[in-house]
Amino acid sequence: MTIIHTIAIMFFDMHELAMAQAILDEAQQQVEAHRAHRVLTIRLQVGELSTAMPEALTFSFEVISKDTCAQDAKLDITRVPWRIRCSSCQKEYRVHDRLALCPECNSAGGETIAGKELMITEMEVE
Amino acid sequence: MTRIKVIADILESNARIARQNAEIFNEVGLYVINLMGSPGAGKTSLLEWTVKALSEHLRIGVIEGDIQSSIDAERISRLGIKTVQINTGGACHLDGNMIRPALDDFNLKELDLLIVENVGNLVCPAEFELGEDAKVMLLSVTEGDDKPQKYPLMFQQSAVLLVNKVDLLPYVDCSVDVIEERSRALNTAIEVFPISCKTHEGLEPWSAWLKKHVGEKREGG
Repeated sequence: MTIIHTIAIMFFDMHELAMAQAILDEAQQQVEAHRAHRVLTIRLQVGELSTAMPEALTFSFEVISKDTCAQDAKLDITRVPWRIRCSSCQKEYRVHDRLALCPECNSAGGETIAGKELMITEMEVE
Repeated sequence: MTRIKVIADILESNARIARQNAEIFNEVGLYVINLMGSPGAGKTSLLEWTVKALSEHLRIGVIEGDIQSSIDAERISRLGIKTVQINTGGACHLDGNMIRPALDDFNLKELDLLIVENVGNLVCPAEFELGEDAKVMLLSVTEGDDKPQKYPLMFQQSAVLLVNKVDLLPYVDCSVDVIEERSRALNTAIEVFPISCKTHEGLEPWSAWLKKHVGEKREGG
């Protein structure tokens, strides 16, 4: 009883569901445009700053793609590291442990140049 | 098997709707803020104070986003402000499309400021644009000063950070300076206002900020 309740909350509470729906919409459009029948793989880039959890995205997609041309399609997710251009010395560096401290001059913060991605880069269809 | 290069932003369909919303707001010179924060941070209390302080000077409308109930909308409409409740029925954030029907309930030409109170959550509201002019984030000192590191996107996207419940600082292990420093590391332009909705400390600079931005949008057309 408790377990079922938890799953239900997980499912309906996830923002990944909205994202999975957008992925499915795009996949269906591409299948139609390329006169294909089904989707085998969808390659995604998900930045470290994105609030999308890869596991939850995969789970949501499995649920909503049932009985569509993307059923059983594999989501191939690449995490994109968070990178910053230092506001003081302009050095570009990768942020570790979510603490944006420049390894060159020790200043905090700067412009985020990568890490917010949430995009489809490639699909395999047949 | 065919390989297709796609390059499609997953959030683009929402971003498109948000841009349409922004056009609607821009046409009538209406300034819109997207108010975000944890459940219990004090978003509705902040709204109550803000409405009381500014309703003589500005025509304000409020959209309340909650998973369920209309408790918040009732609190605000008691102040004589037109308030529309959106119940997301489970969704953890508002998106561009969800606020559309609510916009039809207002005569937007007769408003100067529209405040959209998002669902209480530090995660996904940061990811879904509504078409707002500014994201304003409310964090209370009882939540701790580690939040910028734990929810960086929210701090990155916000123009303003209000640090609420500073009257409780003697009782909690939290430093406003640390919050400010960590927030600036994520977003150098963020404006930080320490406030208390209980004692009303620090709220004047916030209302001055709002008046300034509403005025600029009005004049800019």
